[in-house]
Amino acid sequence: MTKPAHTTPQHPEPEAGLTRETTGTSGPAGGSSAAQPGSTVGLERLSMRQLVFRRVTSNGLIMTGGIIVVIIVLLTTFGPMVISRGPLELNIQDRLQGPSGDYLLGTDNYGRDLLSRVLHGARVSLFVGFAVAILSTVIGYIIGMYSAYFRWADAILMRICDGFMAFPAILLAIALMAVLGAKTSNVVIALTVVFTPYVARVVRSSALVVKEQTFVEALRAQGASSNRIIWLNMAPNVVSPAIIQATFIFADSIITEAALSFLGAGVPPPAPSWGNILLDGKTLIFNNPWMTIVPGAAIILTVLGINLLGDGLRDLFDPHTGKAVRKGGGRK
Amino acid sequence: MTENAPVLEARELTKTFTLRNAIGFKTSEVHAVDGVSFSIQPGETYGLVGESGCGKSTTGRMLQALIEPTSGDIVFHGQPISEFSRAEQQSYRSKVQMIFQDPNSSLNPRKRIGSILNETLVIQGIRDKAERRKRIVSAIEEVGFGEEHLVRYPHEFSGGQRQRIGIARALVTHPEVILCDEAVSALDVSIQAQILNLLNRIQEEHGLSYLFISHDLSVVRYVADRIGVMCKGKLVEEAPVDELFAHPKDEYTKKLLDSIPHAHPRAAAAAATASGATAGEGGTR
Repeated sequence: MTKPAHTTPQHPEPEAGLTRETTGTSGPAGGSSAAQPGSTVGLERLSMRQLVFRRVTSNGLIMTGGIIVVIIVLLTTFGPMVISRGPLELNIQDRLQGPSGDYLLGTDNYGRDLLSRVLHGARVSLFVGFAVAILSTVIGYIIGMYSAYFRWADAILMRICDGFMAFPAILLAIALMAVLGAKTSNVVIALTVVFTPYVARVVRSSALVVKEQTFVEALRAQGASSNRIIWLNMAPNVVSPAIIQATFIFADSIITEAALSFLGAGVPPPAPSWGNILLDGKTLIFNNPWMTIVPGAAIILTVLGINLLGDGLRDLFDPHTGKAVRKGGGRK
Repeated sequence: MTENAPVLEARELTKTFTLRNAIGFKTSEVHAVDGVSFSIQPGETYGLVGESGCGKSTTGRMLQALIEPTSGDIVFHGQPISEFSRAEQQSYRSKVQMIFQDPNSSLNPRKRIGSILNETLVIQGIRDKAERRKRIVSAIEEVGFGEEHLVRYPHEFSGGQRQRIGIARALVTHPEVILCDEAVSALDVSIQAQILNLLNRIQEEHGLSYLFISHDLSVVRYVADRIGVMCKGKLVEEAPVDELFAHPKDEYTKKLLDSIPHAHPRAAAAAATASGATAGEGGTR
């Protein structure tokens, strides 16, 4: 059985040390390499990363959405450092001013700098959106994978998810906030509960497809443990739909957080969040429309950017459904 | 090992699937496999043939311990596998390997070939990395690839190549029996021959036994030493390959043999009428 050679491999552990760069260099150097059948494979393999890069950059949705998101993230990160006034700094004598050299976007009814409030509010909104996207994806992933693999878990977990999904998102979030109390961390918890079932559903349905593939049966035939099959083999095949779903949840939870704060059930004042600023501006919409326009525009732009990014990622990962969705719903 | 001690035996294997309606009431039963017995000798290829839905794949899945038989026993070296301890079960799984029908989905698309083969050995509890590496390399070379192919992904291979990787995955645990469930039926004819020849060569080198499950009689005839014919969950006839093709006893076997397409249909028909032969002889070509 034992064959002689090859006991001194460069890659002692196949699972670990094998990277793309170590391979495909067998082709001869120089211009003649393309003609050799052995090296054409090598060329393809080397350009794989460039291929992905090209597909990303040629995708208009990803580029537009990505640029918007990057700009907003940069503004949120560095903006508050540049602006001298704090979001809670009161200048009563300057209240309800329009944009001027002193206050770039004007002031609110307490004379607080609107630009500073919107930028600090962006931190809260983006933090909530990001935290909810990560948490609900992780938890939803676990629920979705187990319910796809175990039939008994499916019956229980999916009925619970159905129960949560039966409530309108906002209503459920308000109810949870009423129970938990108004705090930024509680907003994250409430929205995670609201959005987790959506990830679980998506992960489950993709995992069910993967489960039917023969390699899962092959692993079971080898006697692999359920957790090895689920997490080391099935899970990596479900990553792309989960990432796509996560971006949409990111956008959704920013909107829902704003709605919660607008209704007074979200981030408690005086801390700025986009929903809070909208709430403050509600009664003053004719006195100072800037208080409504600026945070409103911020929400729209952010959500638009993230959704474009999500659409682009879906097209990239899964060209078929992307096209089908657009043909069936959007364009016509 | 004595000549007549079978490696793997099926004794009165029966599998009944119970169909239930939405509320959970039993509506009907399907006897997928019904009292099937056969044995596989060391170094032998046993062909299991039958039309689709006759229970041959279910038999294979029971032998691989993927599903439990409703009744009956699978006997490995004289010991029923239902009595195996956990450790013995694991060693059974390494000694009885499987090759699957669909080469496209039998390899995890997200894993490199080396990692797929490695995982098989990790599952079998082989801790020593150098030992794993040695086995992986020897298995991949056995099926005609080299070490450089271990870093590739399944999508970089064609169907026939992937099937060879599937064979390497089965070989890597040093099995005694390989169950080939329609192992070549998803491939085109020229590749089929390649894979069958590879299987034959590996059998000669390692003295492996095969259970070859197929609906394709010409394929089974090419590789098998003995053939069992299944029909509606029952084993209706069992005979050495030449005898079965020359003198089929069961009505169903005759029908099955008749269904093989001829390379020269007119010549075959002429030969049949000239000798006034029975229906069964048409199948011998």
